[in-house]
Amino acid sequence: MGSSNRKKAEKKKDFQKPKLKVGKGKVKPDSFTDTSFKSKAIVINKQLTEDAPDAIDRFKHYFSLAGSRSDTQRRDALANLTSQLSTTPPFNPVGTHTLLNKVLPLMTDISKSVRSQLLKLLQALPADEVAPHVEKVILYIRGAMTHITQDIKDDGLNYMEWLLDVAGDSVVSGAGCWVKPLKDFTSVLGWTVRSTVPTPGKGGWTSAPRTTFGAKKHGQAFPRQMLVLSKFLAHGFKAESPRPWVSEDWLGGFCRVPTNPDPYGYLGLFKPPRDEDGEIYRNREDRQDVFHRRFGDAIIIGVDAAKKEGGQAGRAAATLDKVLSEGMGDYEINPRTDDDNDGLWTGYIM
Amino acid sequence: MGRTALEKTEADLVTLQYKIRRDPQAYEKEFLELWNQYESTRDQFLAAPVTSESNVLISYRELVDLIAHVADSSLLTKVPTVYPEYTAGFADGLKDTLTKHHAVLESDLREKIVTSLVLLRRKDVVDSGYLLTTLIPILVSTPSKSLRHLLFTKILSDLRSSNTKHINHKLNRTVQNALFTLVTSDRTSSKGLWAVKLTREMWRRQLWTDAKPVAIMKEACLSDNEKVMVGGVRFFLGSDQEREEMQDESSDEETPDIKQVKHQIGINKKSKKKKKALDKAVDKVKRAQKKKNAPNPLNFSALHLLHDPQGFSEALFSKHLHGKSRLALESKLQVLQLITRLVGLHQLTLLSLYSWFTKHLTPRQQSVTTFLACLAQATHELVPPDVLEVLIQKIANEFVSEASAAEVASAGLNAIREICARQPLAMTDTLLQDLVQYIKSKDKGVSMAARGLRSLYREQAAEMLQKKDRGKKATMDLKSGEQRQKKFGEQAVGGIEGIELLAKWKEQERKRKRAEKGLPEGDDENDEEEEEEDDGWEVASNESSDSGEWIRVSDSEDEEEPIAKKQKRDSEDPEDEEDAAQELEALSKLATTQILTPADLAKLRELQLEANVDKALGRKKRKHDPQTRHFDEGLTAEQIEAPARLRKDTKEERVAKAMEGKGERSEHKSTQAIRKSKKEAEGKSTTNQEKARKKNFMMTLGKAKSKQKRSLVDTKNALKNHISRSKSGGRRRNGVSK
Repeated sequence: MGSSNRKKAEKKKDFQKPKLKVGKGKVKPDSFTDTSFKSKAIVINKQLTEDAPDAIDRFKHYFSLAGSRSDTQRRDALANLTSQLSTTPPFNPVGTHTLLNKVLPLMTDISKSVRSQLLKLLQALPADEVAPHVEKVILYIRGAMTHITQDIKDDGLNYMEWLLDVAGDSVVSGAGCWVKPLKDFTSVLGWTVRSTVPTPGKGGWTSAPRTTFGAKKHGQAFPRQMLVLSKFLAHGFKAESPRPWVSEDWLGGFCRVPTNPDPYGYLGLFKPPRDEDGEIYRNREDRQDVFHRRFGDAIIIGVDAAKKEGGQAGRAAATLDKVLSEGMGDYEINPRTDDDNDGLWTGYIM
Repeated sequence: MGRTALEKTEADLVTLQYKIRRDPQAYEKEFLELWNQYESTRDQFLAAPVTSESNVLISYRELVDLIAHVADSSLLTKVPTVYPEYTAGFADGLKDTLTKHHAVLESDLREKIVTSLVLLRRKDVVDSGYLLTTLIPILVSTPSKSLRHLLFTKILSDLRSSNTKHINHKLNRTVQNALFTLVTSDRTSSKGLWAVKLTREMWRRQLWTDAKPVAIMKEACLSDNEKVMVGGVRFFLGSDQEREEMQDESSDEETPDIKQVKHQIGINKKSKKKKKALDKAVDKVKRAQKKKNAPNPLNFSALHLLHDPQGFSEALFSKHLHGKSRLALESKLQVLQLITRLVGLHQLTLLSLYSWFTKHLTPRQQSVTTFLACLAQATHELVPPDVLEVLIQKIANEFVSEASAAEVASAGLNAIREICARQPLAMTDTLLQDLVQYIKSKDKGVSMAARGLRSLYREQAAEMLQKKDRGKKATMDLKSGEQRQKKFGEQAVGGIEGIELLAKWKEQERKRKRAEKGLPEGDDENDEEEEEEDDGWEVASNESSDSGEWIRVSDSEDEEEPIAKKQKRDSEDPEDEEDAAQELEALSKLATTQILTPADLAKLRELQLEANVDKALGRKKRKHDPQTRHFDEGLTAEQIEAPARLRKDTKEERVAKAMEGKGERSEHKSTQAIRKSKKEAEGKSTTNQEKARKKNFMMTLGKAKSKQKRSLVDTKNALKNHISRSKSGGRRRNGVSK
């Protein structure tokens, strides 16, 4: 029929091949746009200056690039910053506080190279300058440790390890830096939930998670998590050597300018009210106390289960067990806690 | 960075949410990690709510969303899990964040927190009271328009949903109390506007119908803030109408056409889905019918539920009208409308109001017709006539004169008529006679207005009119002493409406029965006893349709003709007249001498209805007949201006009226073509005839050829089959499946 012929021709038109001819050059496609232009002269607004931007400007440039959208740029910026920090004396025109503010959010970066470069940068930071910012740093480390992606979780442990190396004692005595990380540890290790108790019927005593959600890599991270936890606990349970009182202390107690920033921060005057999790646990007894109350049983059960697994996990569990027995060995449920006040007044007529 | 970094994570969160929903117990560990992640993100966020990194905000938002979704996971499986234990403080955390930082929060995050709270409410993790006490304070304090809108819709939908199954009195009381304090605590602030909006919406949907919302609105009316005040006033003026409209809207909700659904099932493939659809449709229709037959819920109007209207109107008057008030004229008028409405409806005494009117009653006053309407509204039987007399005199002087424009004069006359209809004593006879002279005006509006005034006084106090204006009936009534002007404060003796109809009917029935029995008309006594025996309850079973006697109802016609006719007939036999008087006496005794049975009452209702129908049939009902309007309804400026609009419509208007509802005829097409396209647009198919005509010729060829080649036997069989088939109702057996 007539119409169908026409339609056929129409359809054919779409698939016709252009004829190629020798020596004629390729036919340009329909959508080709001619972008060539001619000009008599090229004008450059600003001549290149002889002297490149100074060191501070360059630092700031890379500093801003640390928040770039591209992975490689972020990594390179971090690498550059690291190299500048590792000179002697370290070159840091913006200060540790600003630098940390900028780079800490990168702890949960999706790119592995960025994260490992970040670790190097952090390690290049001077230890005494990190200590005042522990409470802020631990926020981000906790975020990384509990991240849903296993890789980031592992790197979170690296950051935790770094922080413990750098400022171990101020970590465990900071506000919200004892109970909250412990909670994270136990949840990451899976020691809070009843599922560690083997369900009858399924049998077995392995503590590897049963769900498939990220379980593949979890097994490898397990011993490492325990090792970092043991390190953390070791810092927390470290026996303090009391400094002998000298007569200068009496005067210094009220005359001398405090040496550390935010000396009265523990009072929490201008901060949101803290709950038990966010509280400061200043000395060993306090830490032992809250540890025993909230985590002791769960961790002991977890350690026992992990020991049975043997291998790396078992070894790590043994380390952890040793730390626990050393740290908590001298712990006795002391009657100092406020809970016992209830009994104190019984029998009195108020 | 944030975007790319989160793409993968987001997908993971979605799968995790899905898995947790499927098997909450198995994913407890993941949930705990997530929970800790949430806590650390929240800490990061709270450390710097304003300057947080964008990816912190994004991950916080996503975590909030996820946790809100899985917070009730243990409820699904009935297995105890850790979810409720951990998420116990979740709602509190969200509430805390929202209340403290709502002004600086990023908008997406803010919205997510609000919706998550609502989600928790839907999952019954928190109760409505908690949600509303969180959201309402933010609603009134936030500077963000989008957030206000979101909160308003959420609050409203929550209130609605918690009132659907049964009215949640406790919640309503809390919310109403909160709104009440919102309005009363700071009268100068515009925060009360939200209380007004919420209350109005709830009233419109008939979820709040008691006195408390009215009390809230009452307080809003007394607010110092003009917006709040106008909102409250508007509520009283328009809410009931709004509510009715809403009800109408909901009642004529789309009910599916069962016929069409059935038809489609007959044609299309039969499937369970289709059957379900049919069942649903049938169910819906049944429900709609049930709803239609259900008794109307008692709805008191807001004006009637008002507590202490006297005090309220006095407060309104002294606050917004009297003395110095800086209100715009429009809002002033609305307040005035409300006050006068209250005065008229509850028959309040507010004497200073009338003297206040004096200065506004000039033609130069802006929107003076509204003032006139308000004045008429504020008039009732218990207003002292001497107060009104001055005002009427002023209206007459200012508006009604030969020099003034026709519209002005007619408006003035109409206003006077409306006032006098409510308080006839306010008129002096000289003024009345003067005004009635305007019947002779050349302008139709003016003469009609004057005519209205005359007919009003023919009924009310004919002696005030000149003799020539009284009309025949009024003159007769005056002579017989039937018409008498009511004194100030005199109340009409109440009776049962339509009782005379019933008595009349009873009388007729008795006569009919006696005629059947062949008794003479005379002896009533023994007959009445008989009547007692077989009358009574069986009345209802009597056929009511054959009692189609025409019953004359006293009508308030001002036209001469029907009255004249009636009188002519009356004068034909004077005995009848006497009878009528006696009868009337007897009739009025009916209610006091007999006990009305339910059957009697039913009959009474029927008779009343019939009488109304007769009345409607007897004469064309006028649209703006002032006499048929109820005094409770209130008066608008249009009714005062009405006759000014007597002018015929312009041509365009008439054409538009004629084209109304006739459909579009943009291109030149035959009626049939239009019909066909309409059918097509409705999704209906063509007729079989049409299909046959459209069928491709080539497709018909084969059958035609084979028909020609058939043997005689085949042809015979085919014909035979055709006949037997047509006898049994066609191939489809008339729709019955084989």
